[in-house]
Amino acid sequence: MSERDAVAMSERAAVLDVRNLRVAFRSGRASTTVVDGVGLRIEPGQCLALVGESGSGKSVTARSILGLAGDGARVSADRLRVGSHDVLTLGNRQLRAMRGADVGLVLQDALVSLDPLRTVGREIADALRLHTRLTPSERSARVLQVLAEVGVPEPHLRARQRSGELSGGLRQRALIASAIALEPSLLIADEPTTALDTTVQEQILRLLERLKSEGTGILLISHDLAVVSRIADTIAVMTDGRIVEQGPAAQVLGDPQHDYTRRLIRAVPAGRPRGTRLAPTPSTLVPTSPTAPASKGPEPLESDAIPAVSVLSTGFVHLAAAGRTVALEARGLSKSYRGPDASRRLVVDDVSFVLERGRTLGLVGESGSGKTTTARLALGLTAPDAGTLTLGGAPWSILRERLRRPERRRIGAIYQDPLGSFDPRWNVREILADALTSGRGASGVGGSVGGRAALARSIAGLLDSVGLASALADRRPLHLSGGQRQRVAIARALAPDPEILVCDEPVSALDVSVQAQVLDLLDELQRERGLSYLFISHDLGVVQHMSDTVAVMFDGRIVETGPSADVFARPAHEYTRRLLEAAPRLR
Amino acid sequence: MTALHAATAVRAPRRRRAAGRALRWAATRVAGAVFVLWAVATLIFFGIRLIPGDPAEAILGGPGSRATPEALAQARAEFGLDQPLFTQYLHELGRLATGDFGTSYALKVPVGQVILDGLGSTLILTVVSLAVAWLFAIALALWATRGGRVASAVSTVLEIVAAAVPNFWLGTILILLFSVGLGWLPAISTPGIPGLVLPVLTLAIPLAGFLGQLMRESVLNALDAPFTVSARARGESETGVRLIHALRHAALPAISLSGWAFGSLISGAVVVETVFARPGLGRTLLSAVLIRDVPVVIGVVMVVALVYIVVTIATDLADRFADPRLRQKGGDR
Repeated sequence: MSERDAVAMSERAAVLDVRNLRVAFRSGRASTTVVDGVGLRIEPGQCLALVGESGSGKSVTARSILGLAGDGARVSADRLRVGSHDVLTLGNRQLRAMRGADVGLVLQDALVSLDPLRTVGREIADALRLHTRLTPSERSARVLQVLAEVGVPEPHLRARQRSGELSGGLRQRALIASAIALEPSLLIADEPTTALDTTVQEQILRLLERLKSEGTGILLISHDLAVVSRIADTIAVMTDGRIVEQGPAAQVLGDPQHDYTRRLIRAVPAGRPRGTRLAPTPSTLVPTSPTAPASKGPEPLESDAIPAVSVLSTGFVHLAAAGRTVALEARGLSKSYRGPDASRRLVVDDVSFVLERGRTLGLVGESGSGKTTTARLALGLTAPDAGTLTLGGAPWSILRERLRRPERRRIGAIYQDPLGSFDPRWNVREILADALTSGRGASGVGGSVGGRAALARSIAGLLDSVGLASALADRRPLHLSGGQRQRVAIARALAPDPEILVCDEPVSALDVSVQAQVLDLLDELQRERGLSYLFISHDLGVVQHMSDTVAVMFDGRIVETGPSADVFARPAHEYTRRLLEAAPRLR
Repeated sequence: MTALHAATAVRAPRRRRAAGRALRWAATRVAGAVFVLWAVATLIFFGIRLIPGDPAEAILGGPGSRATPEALAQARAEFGLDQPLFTQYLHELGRLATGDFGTSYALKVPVGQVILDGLGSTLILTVVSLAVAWLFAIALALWATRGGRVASAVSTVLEIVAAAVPNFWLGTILILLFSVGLGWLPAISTPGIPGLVLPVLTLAIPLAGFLGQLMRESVLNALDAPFTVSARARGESETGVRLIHALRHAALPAISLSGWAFGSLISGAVVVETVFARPGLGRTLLSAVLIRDVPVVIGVVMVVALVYIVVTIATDLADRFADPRLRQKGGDR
């Protein structure tokens, strides 16, 4: 066989072959290039991971492969082939024949990626109805078969349910089933595990791995290097519409050549000791000498973790004064809710914890484990059925609301989705002004000129402390990036000068590198202000990186608690071990 | 896994609980309906007495009849109008509770009979109008979201104009155009389909504009949703995406609003039946109010209220049928 034949053979074998793909969007007269010279190649049974952050152009790349880039998109390429199809030359009808049959697409969240009004069985059957001549009964037989293949138990029952009635893992499997019902040779998975719990994510990755071993070519799109490192053969790192680095997974992860790749790898919090910076140092902070913090006061960190940290020197006055007193303590908390079928469900079951002042207690567990209810109890937003909470040694949960309200400023909260907790009509200044004044009532700052100037100064100070330019004060939250929004949320939480922050999944909706910046910010603020964090997350890597003490929650109970280092190094409970095994990490 | 087994085990009691929930729902609805009917009867009973004039005159043939004082007194005694107002009210409630609407002052026939004569015609008019409005709205929404910028702009204008046009004006214009001008359709609503066309259009067009605006918004939302991307990626055509996925989502708010829309159609029927001289409840109501035919007014209003209640419950059920998420509100959590 000549060399040319061999090349021809391998070219024919590729399930996806993209060379110099360019996509531009026209808006008015201007044209923005969002994908610029992308080349990808996937052979049967291979997985190529396209890694980049939101806005890098990776999803547009995926849609272009399907011919779904949208109306305003101009797609050009030297080559854009799916199997034997030349996508750019296909007409609408031929494109439709290709979609679903030769390429399957799996999107992020099956709750919205499957029609919430239709049963998953019908959604899966649609692919068969569009591409085959099977009779309805043959179709439903095949639907059950596919559901069973992707590991959905009791497929005949699940097929009649809608995405909203299924758990996150089951509906994501159903979504995958709808994409592979016709056994396409290429599967495009666009953030298929984002927003899933760790153990569910592991199951989905395992499923993708199996499809791969059965010969399906997979284009895996993700912002999370740790996730893709699990199954990718090749990794392509994308930013600003270009692929900056591409190569075998081990090589890209082990010996990254491009600066951006290195930054992405460094941003992964898993396995990074507490106190180390995840993102490059911002200029707003004053670096101090590495040894200075350890000598001042009872610094809780291991000294070897300090060097990479930049600190404001004033912060340690708080810490020194704080000592090791208790900021928040829970004893035997229980809370149950009445379900829709009138049965009571114990959501939080005999939960006790101690949050020391100036430290972080990580609360880790999967959705439904009772983390958020615990947060609501800590915030005094809901009363426990049993047990007590004390705030700085004083009663908290048993206080009547009238007595609790003046104390509320001492404990603030940050949530996963700040957008939902902002009034969309307010700009950042109004949001912060509201937070600054409401603790003292309208008369506190009043309408006097002096009061207004003081308010403006406070707002500027808050924005500065979370690393936001004061120019952003006039923007509305909708016009901020995810990371900026979360910074505004933190600034708002800081406004009444609280002692404790309850952080409920504060970085779960953020890209890895933005997540790194926000985690760094939280870390800095803790040092500066001596804040105590109740840090809630389903992401073990994040919790490990942030916490001094960890409590693992499962089914409403804390199954294991202890110093962060101990729990992660020597998990005692079986559930903790399972979580740790499922957690994706760079390998 | 254990949770799954538990779910199978509790299925039977859950069904029983579901039945209990349905019963409770029905009981609340019936109680609510009774309260609304009582409130309507009360309001209308006292409200109609605010209209100047003497009901006894109405009994004796209206204000122009020049009835003698003796005749008036006799009529008052006969219909119980000489008793204290509150006694009359209780008496009226008692009769209404047994389904007896009394006798029309002017027509001297049972009010039930008067209502039955008009009800069918009005229901046909409103139901057909609602259906036609839906058809227009769906067509408009699909066209507006498909046909590019021009279609979108044109349909926006169409919807706003349609929604803003008052019934009586639209009816007059339609008559001038199609009856007087073109001579295609009768100006006076005759029995049969040709006579129904103009009244139906008069009622349906404003409502279609309103529903169309509502639906276009939700069609656009649905076409933006990830599940339509999934559908296209499965090879679904644009038409398929619209018909199978987007339209159903678009229908949800319109269904919820149809109960209210039906109410507005009935009040629109008062105008339309008058403009087109079409027999029906609306016209009956109008003339009864003008001559202070109290039993007829109360009867018609009560029946309209009842129809409205039934329609509201029907839209509620239709909502639950179209949106399965409502059936399991609260979900598993």
